[in-house]
Amino acid sequence: MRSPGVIEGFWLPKAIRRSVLDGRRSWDESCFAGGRECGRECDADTPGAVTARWPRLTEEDWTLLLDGLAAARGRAPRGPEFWDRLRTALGGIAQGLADPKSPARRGIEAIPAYTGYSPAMIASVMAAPEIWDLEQMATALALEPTRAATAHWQPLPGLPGRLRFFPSRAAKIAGVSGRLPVYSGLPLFGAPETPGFVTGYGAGNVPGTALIIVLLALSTTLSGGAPPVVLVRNSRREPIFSPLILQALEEADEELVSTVAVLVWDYDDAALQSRLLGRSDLVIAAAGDDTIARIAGQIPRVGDSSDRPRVRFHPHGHKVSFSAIGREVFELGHQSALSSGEGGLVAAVALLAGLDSVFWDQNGCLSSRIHFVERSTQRDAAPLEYAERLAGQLRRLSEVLPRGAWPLRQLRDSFDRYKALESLGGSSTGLQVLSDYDDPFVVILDERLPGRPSPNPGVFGALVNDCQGRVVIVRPVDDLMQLPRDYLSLLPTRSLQSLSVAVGRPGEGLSRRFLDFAGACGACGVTAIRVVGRGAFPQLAYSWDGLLPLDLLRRRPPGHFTTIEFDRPFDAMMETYRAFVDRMAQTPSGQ
Amino acid sequence: MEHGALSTETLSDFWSLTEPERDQTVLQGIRATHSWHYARNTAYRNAVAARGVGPRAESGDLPRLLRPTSQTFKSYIDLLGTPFPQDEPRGFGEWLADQLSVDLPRDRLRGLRSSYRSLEALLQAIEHAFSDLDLELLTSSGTSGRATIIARDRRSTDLNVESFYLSFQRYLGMKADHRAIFMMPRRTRIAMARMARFSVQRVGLTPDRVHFAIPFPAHPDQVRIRAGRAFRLGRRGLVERRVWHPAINAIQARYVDPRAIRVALTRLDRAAREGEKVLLFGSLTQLHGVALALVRAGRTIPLAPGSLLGTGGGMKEAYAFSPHEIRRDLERVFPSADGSALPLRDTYGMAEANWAAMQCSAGNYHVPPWVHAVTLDDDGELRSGSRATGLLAFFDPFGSGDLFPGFFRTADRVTLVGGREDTICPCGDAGAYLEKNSIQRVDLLGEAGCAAQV
Repeated sequence: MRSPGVIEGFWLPKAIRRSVLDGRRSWDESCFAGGRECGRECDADTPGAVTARWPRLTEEDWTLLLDGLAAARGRAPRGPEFWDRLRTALGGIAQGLADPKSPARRGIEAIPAYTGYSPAMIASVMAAPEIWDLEQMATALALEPTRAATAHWQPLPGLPGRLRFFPSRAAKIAGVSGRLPVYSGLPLFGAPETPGFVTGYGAGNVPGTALIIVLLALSTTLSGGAPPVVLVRNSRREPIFSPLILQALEEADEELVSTVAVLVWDYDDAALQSRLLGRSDLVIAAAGDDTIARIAGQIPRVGDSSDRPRVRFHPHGHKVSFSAIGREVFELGHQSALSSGEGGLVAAVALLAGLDSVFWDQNGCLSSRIHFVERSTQRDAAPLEYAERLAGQLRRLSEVLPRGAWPLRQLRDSFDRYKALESLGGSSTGLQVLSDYDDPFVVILDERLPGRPSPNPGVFGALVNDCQGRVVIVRPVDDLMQLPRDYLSLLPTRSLQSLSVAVGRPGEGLSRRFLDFAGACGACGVTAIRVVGRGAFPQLAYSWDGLLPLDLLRRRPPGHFTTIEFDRPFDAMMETYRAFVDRMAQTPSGQ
Repeated sequence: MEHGALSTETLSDFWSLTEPERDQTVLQGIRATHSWHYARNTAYRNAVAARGVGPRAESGDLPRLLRPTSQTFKSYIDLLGTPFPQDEPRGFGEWLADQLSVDLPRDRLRGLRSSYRSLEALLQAIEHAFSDLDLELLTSSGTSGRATIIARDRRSTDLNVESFYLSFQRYLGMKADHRAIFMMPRRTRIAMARMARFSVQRVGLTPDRVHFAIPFPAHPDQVRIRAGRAFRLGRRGLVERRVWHPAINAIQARYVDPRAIRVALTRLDRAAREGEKVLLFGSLTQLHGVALALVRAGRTIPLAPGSLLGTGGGMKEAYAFSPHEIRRDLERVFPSADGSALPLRDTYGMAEANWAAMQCSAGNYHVPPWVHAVTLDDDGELRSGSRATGLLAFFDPFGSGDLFPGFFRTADRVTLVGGREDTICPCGDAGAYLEKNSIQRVDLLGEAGCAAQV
């Protein structure tokens, strides 16, 4: 008999659940305490541990499940009606989560104990309206980017921002060019291939990846048909959040999730993988590079042996993100509308940029690692001022969004390592550690000469790799263009993801200078550009690792999209700042 | 107590101290050693001052005195921006001077060339420049491609030799009547190899009773290229990767290893014929190479009672056989002449430590009593209890010499037992020990999902 502390780490629709689980005796389970697996990474009897379980399905169980999900497609609502009902239900869940007595809320309280993230961090994310907002998806799926996007930024009708497409080398050779007028008006995407069966793989480093995959897959309903079967293999490291929300959705509107299942199964079960991938029209994998390589290796074997179109594969592997702080921030300085606040604009930007590194404690691909600060001729000490403000804001944030239960040792190793680099032979090296040993973060100002450390991919890669667990390096650049030219170009294109920016002036749109900069970053592999403070809240309507929502429905030449998620960067930044401050003001202390 | 009050003769006295006396002496030694190095060692002072520790350390400061072995003597890489200090000789010299508690005349660094063709050439040049200080520069095994580089002077070498010698005697039962065969080159900068060699000589073995099976020197550059984990940039790196790496490995596999095995077997056969006690020392895989040669030949070598098989260095590379299988093969081919099992003893140590924990007859690794070993939790705080599992850290106030304080936190998770009263090792020797089979290298990266390393 299971202990009362065991949580369901899976989700099956009600009808299927009954037939698959009745009388079941074989379960698998994982026990975690503070993000560490009991008996492996910490003692087996660690206090406060949470156990999650999921069924171990037999071949017959899988048949029942897959047939049940397929049959449910026929009964589910279709097209825009489905999507409208889903948005309404999610809105209700968001409100319900705000109620401390709701059952879903009680389940969510197990997430910190299991994953190690602080309760305040989880609560803050749950309270962010952005994560429940699906309003823009219909517009995103109606976009019609043309080949001109390979040469120029294109507007996104109905959405703020711009879009650009960077074809892979092979696609360039094949002649995907938007520079020739005869080609530039041609669409980038082919005819719709609405998926009927989507298989997902969700990583466990940040909560909710499986849910994002489910929502993306269900958004294909907007093309007019029935919702696809969505089967997601969840991570043992975070199997709680997505099933909780799916359960709440079922309670709100049962038909919405009747085609969805979230389970944990063995990647190495070749027969099962072959069976599932053989049915799939689309595979979305958010996982480590090694797992993605394994899945990718299995997909062609499936597709080659059938008459069905080749399975579309959307991999989301290891990525890193950065921030760019423009010189305008320092030049506007105290003349902005924020001048009455402590530290003015620089402090506000440092707070927002700090959030991008603080959320998920840099365990997420979207967490900013290095903050590049553009030097200002008007303010010589701009990088130092920014780094000091950042340290101050991270100290404040550590109280409202405490760091998770990760070993302090890793943080202190970084502190020690960079402290040792401050001087050589009695002279300053240009590197300063601006945090204290006991701070739950590390801020390093690295003003070593350009090219020091040498423009060596391995050395720069090591700097990037150090920035995990709330370790932020502030690196001055003379011009923002140095960022793509001297730094991002050192990293593999496939490893880059988001860039958070603090640029522009009040009321200013996207300047030529900024678009050139964004284009250079996109060419290096950056796939999403948003304002500081929004790093942890990417919008599904924009590029996720170079893939647009349209990629869920259609094929296009190989390459990646880069999206800019705003029209007026300064104004979007200020809006984000005000929203965050308001939200913090409404959050009861201790949340 | 003043730092340096104990000379090499007094390390052995620690075995005769009572527990309270030992604890008090070691704690006083830690404080004195801290103050002494704090005043003289720039890198150490910077590190601990940043953690809020001043020139006088209190008991509560102990965890803050520990520097990580994974960083301390590799920090030149971050400072110079390259793992190849031969490209930045003067910067490397400045780094080295900052690491040491002796006054290294920095003006001599100006005499260094702007670059050297190899790390070995650079290390020789620095040793030559400071020859009056009797400095020798040693390295870790270097298989990661990023070598720990550590300095020793005459006093620290003497202390190190004394430390190893005492442990060899006490835990391995070695005396001057052994013949020592090392599966390693005579000329190497690998710290552990050098110290093992010096220590058996200190036991009393005359040079004609100490043999090295590998007849070629092993320079750090060769070790790096052979390991294949780090190559120079540009054309030179391409040549290293495409030419030297496969060539060195081919030579090693086809010529050096077989010859080392032949030399070892010749020495072992002779010792067996003459009834001499033998110490055969090398890595587990090297000893296994000898064992496999005997298996293939269908023969055994019955060694004289009192002979020993010694291993060190752990398993640094993927190997087709497990340690258990290797031990089984060694037991099979080296039966003791009197029918008793031939002892196979492992040694746990590292370049940064001037001591080694040697495996006793019960299989546990004994920490010398002048070393204060502790385990740390994930936050770097001291774990308490007579048996605790955590990251191993140690304070060696008496045995580490004058160049840097021997206060380090390792990257190895161990179970440390106090070895007092009800936790005394089954071998009967009192004092702290690392439980057998408990030592494991900690992988600091968890499952990272979409984040992680580039």
